[in-house]
Amino acid sequence: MRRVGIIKFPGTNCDLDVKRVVEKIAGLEARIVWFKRFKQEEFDAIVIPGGFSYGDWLRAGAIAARSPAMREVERAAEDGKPVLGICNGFQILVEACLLPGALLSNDPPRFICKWVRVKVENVKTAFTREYQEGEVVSMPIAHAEGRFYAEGPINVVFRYHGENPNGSLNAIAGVSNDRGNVVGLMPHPERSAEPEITPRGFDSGGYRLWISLRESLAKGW
Amino acid sequence: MTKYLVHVAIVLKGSRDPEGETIYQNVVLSGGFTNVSRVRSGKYLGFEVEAQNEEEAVRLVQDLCFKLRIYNPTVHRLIVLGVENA
Repeated sequence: MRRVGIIKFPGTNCDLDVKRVVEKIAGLEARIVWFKRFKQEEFDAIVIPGGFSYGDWLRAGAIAARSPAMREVERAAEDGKPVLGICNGFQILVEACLLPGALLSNDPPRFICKWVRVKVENVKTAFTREYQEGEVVSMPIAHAEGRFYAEGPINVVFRYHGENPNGSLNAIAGVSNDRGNVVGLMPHPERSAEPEITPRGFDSGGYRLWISLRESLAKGW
Repeated sequence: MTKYLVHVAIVLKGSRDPEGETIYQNVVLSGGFTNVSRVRSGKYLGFEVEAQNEEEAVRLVQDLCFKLRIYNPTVHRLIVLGVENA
């Protein structure tokens, strides 16, 4: 069975949620690995979950990004393995230069925790192949430093729809690298994959992200 | 070799600075200091380093801040605030 590595840094707190959906929704083997023991060759795909690695010191994700575990992730990304960063995981991927830009303090400056709608802008990535281009799905966000900013061309994967909750450049919620195997997003697809925990008026918009991962590992993408 | 303390600040280059703007609007302006035109927020770090002289100490800190990405050059600027004997 294909195996997904979930990296746990000190302060990561969404690892169990990710493990649950990788096993239950994608039907893949999932293993949570402490960052000091993480070796990329043991895995077919990698997820860096959300949380507050190193207490968000220096900048959210900045300290975890300098860890040897992220050099492993870099190698996996070069090999073309699917790599996903959710929320703080996205911040870590950006700080590690695996994705472009920066994630700055929200504008207005406060922690936001709410369900939002995002538009799927690119379905040619390892994590979005099961969506329709341009469709709008629901996911929750929960962050204080999610204002995406970058210079130059960006591979936009998700864009906030109907509102721009954190002041991101062009309402960007998620981006990918050029190959589409590395994807990062601020919304939480692991918290929006099951109808039982989806509030009324929203849909389980994260579900097909995990199905996409399963299909990408089965067929390549 | 002498021990120096190099003071640096990481500040935003051009993008919006909501923390600075909030302090400006809700503390400075509302406190009546209308001759202030802007407040910028940032992060302070102090590095104690061994070097031959002040210039070398500053260069060493600037270099490590860039190489280790203590600041993100896309959005930040590193300001050397000063250097003193530690």
